[in-house]
Amino acid sequence: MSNVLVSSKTKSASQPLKRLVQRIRPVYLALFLLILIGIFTQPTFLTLRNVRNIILSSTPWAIATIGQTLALLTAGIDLSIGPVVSLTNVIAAFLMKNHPNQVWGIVLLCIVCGTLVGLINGFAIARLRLNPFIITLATGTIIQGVTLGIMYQPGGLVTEGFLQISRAGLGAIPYALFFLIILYGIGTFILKRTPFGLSIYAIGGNETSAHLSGIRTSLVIVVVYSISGFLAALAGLFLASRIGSGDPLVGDPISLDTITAAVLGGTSLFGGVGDLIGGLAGAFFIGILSTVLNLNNVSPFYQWISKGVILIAALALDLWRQAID
Amino acid sequence: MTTVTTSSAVGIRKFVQKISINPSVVIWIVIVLLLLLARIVSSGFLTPTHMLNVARQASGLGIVTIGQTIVIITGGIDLSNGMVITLVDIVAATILRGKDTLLFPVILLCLAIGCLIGLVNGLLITKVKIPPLIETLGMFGILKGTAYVITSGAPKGDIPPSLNFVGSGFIGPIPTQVFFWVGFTILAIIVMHKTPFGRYIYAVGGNTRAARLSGVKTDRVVISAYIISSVLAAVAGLILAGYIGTGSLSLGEGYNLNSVAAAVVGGTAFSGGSGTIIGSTGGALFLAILISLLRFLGLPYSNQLMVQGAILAIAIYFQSRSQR
Repeated sequence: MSNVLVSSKTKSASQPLKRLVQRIRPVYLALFLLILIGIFTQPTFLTLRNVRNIILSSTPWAIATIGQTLALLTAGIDLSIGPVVSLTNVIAAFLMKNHPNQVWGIVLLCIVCGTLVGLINGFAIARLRLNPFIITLATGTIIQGVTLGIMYQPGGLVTEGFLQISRAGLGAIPYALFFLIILYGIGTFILKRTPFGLSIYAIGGNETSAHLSGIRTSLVIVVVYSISGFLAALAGLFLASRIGSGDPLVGDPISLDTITAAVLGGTSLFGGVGDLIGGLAGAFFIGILSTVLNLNNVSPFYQWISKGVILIAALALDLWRQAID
Repeated sequence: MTTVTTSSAVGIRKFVQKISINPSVVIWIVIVLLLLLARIVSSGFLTPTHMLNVARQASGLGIVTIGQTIVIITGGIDLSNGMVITLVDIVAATILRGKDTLLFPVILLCLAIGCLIGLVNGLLITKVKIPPLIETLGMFGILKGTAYVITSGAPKGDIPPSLNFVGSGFIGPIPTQVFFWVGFTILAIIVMHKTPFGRYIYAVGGNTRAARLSGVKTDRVVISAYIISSVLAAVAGLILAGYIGTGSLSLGEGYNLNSVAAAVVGGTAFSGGSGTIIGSTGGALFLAILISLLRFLGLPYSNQLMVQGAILAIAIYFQSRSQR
C-alpha cells in the first residue's frame, strides 16, 4: 500500500499531459489547436462565409480520404485517387459544355469510370498479387495521361444547375455537410458493424490468417479499391461543381493529401488499425490549415513545409503514444 | 549419342530457365527488344548521336536509381531524392550566379546538404521509427517548400561554365555525365558485392531481426543507405544543373517515382533483401530509352504518360511471376 502511495508521488509532472494525449487522439487536439489559432489570428475566421468556405473546400478531400483509409486498412495504398479525381473533373466539364442536357448521364459516366479504375486496381492487387504501391502508381499514371489527353489546359464548362449542387444548402449550411455526415455515418457503420467491414480489418491485420478463416479476401480487396475509385469520382464531380470548369491537374496533391489525412487520423500504413472519423478530422485539418495560412497571408510555399512537418510529427506522436502503453 | 543430345537439351533448357527467372537479366533482354522495336518503328532513333543523347538523359536517373536501389533493398523507400536534385540546383544557381569562383565550396555545400538530408531521413526512420514511405514523403514536402521559399517562386541565377561542361559536355564522343554514371555504377557494384557493408545491406533487408541478432548494427546500415541515396541525388542534381544551366523548381520532378520504377523493373523487390545494381541500371536505361523513344515519335505528353504507366504495370506483372 505504501508502495503505491510512494510511486504515485514520484510520478512526473507530465503525467496529466500524457494521459490527455492518450485519451484523445492527437489529430483532434491538433484540429482544436488549429481552430483556436485561426480564431485568434483572424477575426473573420468564425464568420459564416469562412466556415462555409472551409466546409466546401475540404469536402472533396474528405470524400476521397474514405477510399484511401479503406485501402490503407487492408495494408494497401491507392495512388490513383488523385488522377481519378482529375479525370472525372475533366470529363464532367468537357462533356457538359457540349451536352448540357445530359448532366445525369455524364455524372453516371464519371462514376462508372472511377469505379472501373478501382476495379482494375483491386483485381491486380488481389488476383494478380501485384504490389499496391506500384500498380496504383501505374494505373494513376495511365489515367493522368488520359486526362491530359482529354484536356491539356483548364477548360470546359459545367451547367448552371450543376454549379448549384455544391452551393446549395439549408439556409447557410451547405448540403455538402449533410452529405459528408451521412457518408461517414454509413461508412463507419459498415466498417465497424458488418462482416464486410470487419473482414477489412482482418485482411489488414494478417491477410493469410483472414483467408484461412474463410474470409473471401480477393472479393473484399476488389470491393475496397472499387469503392475508393467510386469516391474519387464523386470528389472529382464535386470539384467540377465547385470550380465550374475542368482542370487536368486538380487532383495532383490529392493522392498524397489523403494519405496524410488518413495517417494523421490514426490509420496505420501497415493495415488493420484506424477508422474513418480520424481521416475526416485529418482532411479538415489539411483544409483548415490552408485557410489559416491564406488568411494570414503566409506564402503558399510554407504550406508545403508545414504539411511535411505535420506529417512527420503526427506519425512520431502516434508512435510515442503507442510506446507509452 | 542420344544421351549427349538429351543432356545438352536439358542444359539449354536450364540455361533459359535461369535467365528468365533472374529479373536482373530479363531487363537487359527487354532493352534489346525495345531497341529492336525502336528500329522498326523509326529509323532515326538508333543513330549514334541520338543514342549518346539518350545515354546522357539516362545518367541522371541512373545515378539516383543506384541510391534508391540500395534503400529499397534495406526494405525502405526514398521519395525525397527528386527534391534533393531540385534543391541542389536552386542552391547552386542562386549562390554561383554564373561564375566559377565559388564552384568548389558550392559543390561541397551541395554534397553536405545531401548528406544532411539523408542523415535526417535515416534518423527519423530508424530512431523515431517513422515508416520510410511517410517520412520521405514528408521530407519531400519540406524540401519543396524550402526550394520555393529560397527562390520566392522565381528561381534566379545561372550555372557556371565548368558545371555546364559536366552536364552538357563531351569527353571524346561520350557525354561527360555517362562517365559519372558508369563510375558510380561500378563503385556501387563493388561495394554491394565485395564489401561487408554490401552484405549488411542485403542482410538488413532480408531479415532485420536476424541481422541485428548476428551483430550487424542495423540502424547504422539503414542510415548509411539513406545518406548514400541523398548524396547520389545531390550529385545528380549538380550534373543536371550543369545540363540545364539555370535554376529550376521542376528539375527533379518525377525522379522519385521514376527511380522507384527503374529499381522495381530491374528486379529489386519492395519487400527488401533482393535486387542488383546491374538490374537497376538496366531499369533506368530502359525507362530512359522508353521516354526518349516516345518523345522522338512525337507522342504528346499525355500519351507518353499512358505508355509509361502501362509499361510499369506490365513490367511488375512479369516480375511478380518470375519471383514465384
